[in-house]
Amino acid sequence: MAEVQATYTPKVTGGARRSAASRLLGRDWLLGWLLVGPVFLILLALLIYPFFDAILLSFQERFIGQDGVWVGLRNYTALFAPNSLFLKAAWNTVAITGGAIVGKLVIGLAMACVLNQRLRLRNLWRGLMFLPWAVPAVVTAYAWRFLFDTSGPINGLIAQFQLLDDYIYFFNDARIALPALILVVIWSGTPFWTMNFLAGMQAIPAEQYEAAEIDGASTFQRFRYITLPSLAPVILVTALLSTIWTSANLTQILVLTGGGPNYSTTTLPLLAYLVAIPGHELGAGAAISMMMMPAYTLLVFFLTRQMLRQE
Amino acid sequence: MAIATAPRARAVTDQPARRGRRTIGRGWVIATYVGLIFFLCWTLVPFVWMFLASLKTNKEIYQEFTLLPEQVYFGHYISLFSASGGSKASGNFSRWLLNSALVATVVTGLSVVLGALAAYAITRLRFTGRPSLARGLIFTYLLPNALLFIPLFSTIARLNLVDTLQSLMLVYPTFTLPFCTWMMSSYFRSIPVELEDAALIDGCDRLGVLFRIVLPLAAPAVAVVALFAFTQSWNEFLYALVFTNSLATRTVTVGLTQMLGEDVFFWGQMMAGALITAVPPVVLYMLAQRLVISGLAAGGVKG
Repeated sequence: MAEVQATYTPKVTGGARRSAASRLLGRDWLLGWLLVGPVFLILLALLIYPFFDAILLSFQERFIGQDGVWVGLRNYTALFAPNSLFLKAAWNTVAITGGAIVGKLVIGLAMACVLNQRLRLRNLWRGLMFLPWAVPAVVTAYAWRFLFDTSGPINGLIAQFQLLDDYIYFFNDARIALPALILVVIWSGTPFWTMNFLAGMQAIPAEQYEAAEIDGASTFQRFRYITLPSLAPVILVTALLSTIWTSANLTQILVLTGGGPNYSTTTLPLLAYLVAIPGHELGAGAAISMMMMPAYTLLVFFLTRQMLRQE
Repeated sequence: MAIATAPRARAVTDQPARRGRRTIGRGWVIATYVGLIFFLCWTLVPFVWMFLASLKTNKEIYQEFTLLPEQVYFGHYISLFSASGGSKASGNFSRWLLNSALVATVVTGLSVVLGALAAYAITRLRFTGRPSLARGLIFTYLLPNALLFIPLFSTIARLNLVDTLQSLMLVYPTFTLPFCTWMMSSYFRSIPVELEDAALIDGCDRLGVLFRIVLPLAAPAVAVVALFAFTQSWNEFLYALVFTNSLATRTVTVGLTQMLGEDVFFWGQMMAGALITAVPPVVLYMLAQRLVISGLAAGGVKG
């Protein structure tokens, strides 16, 4: 839809000769930079500067409230020492993110298919199903922590009907804690996928379905050969976005398990937090963040390109 | 954010009736309704349980297992707001709500004003660095805050802002501004440039054009962006957790988690507090939904 040229404006200067500065810096350079200035400065001071600060910080031993001491690569080599939590946390990050992505894809797609049908009160159902996405992560984590608690309904039912000899201690057992956590992450993240899928489905021309119907395609075939391929770009972008946000989000983990039991649900961002803030070792924490940087930079770079291409 | 990933999508409510789905078989219709009921339960049970628990007495929560409260008990809500409630939240909760509201309001104001100025420059003015700036905005929006909170903490410490609400007001725009700017610029692009040209020829200057023509036309986008900024600031957790450390400066999301540090979990109170915390984002979200359907989908979503 390029009928509106974004930067086109007629010459209102009456054909006056442009100054050297405006030839070099663009017609509206002064006003342009004045207007973007505040945003640029905030991002420079609070994103770009800290980014470089993090690099320096990761080569220091620095405790909160004290001056740093240069230690070279020690913060990095410590990450790969025997019994280091780094590799465990890296694996947890991959497991939680991977499991959550698959779950959100499947459930989100099914949910979008249901909500894309002509239903009574469809907008109400849509609104309700997006609730987990609208409320703060702390709230959803609380809701689930209570559901899984010994005073919660799951264990309540177990006790009431004597289904098991003992309660299930969801977050005390590593084998249950990780899947339970993934379930919560899926639950709260699915609406975002559903929303994107629905928007993508609305963009598929109805003619395609009509043509397929005339050719005798079944409902499933129409889904398989029209809906799914048309959604591919949406799925790609949503998956990338979700990978970034899911892997980086530590709120729910912190509230649900605190990273335990025995670090079995500690992800890299959570480890960085635990080391840097409660552990007071800013340098070592920054080193963990820096180790994540290449992966995120790659993801974000790829995603930015993808989003600009679709625009 | 959904808007960001499906830029070619048409309005969500657009032409639902003309879909070629009317001939799905009876089996699929039944499956659809089964799916609907399943997904409604899946989504709502945690919230419903939360709500019910917030109205139960402690005896019901800890000793008996009941589905519905035997009688509606408002004690947990009351104890959140009275100093004698026994938990860390008691008496502090209203302070936390106020802190969150204050931070979110300031951040929203900053994001809308600064975002609109930058968005206008990016869509309508020509100057060096504009394309890389637009790209940089998306890049910074996508970069997760979990990467930078450690150096940001040391920056905040250097500015002597640790444990103040100002630190949050300063830092939150880093995640609201890129989105607000980007969102508004894509809406501005959908406004016919001829309107602006006419004003320019009539002697209006650029800022006049922005404030008298573009912004009034973009009112739905401005509203959505404001709602977004407020909700994001209200929901934020990590920065608030790291930058503040006393009960008086906590925002409500972090304040809630302070109740986890106690020997006993006051589940009733925690659920009541969590529900109250969820109210502003949910109300704003419902408002935004209307606007997204009518406003953004019609303009900003178009690429």
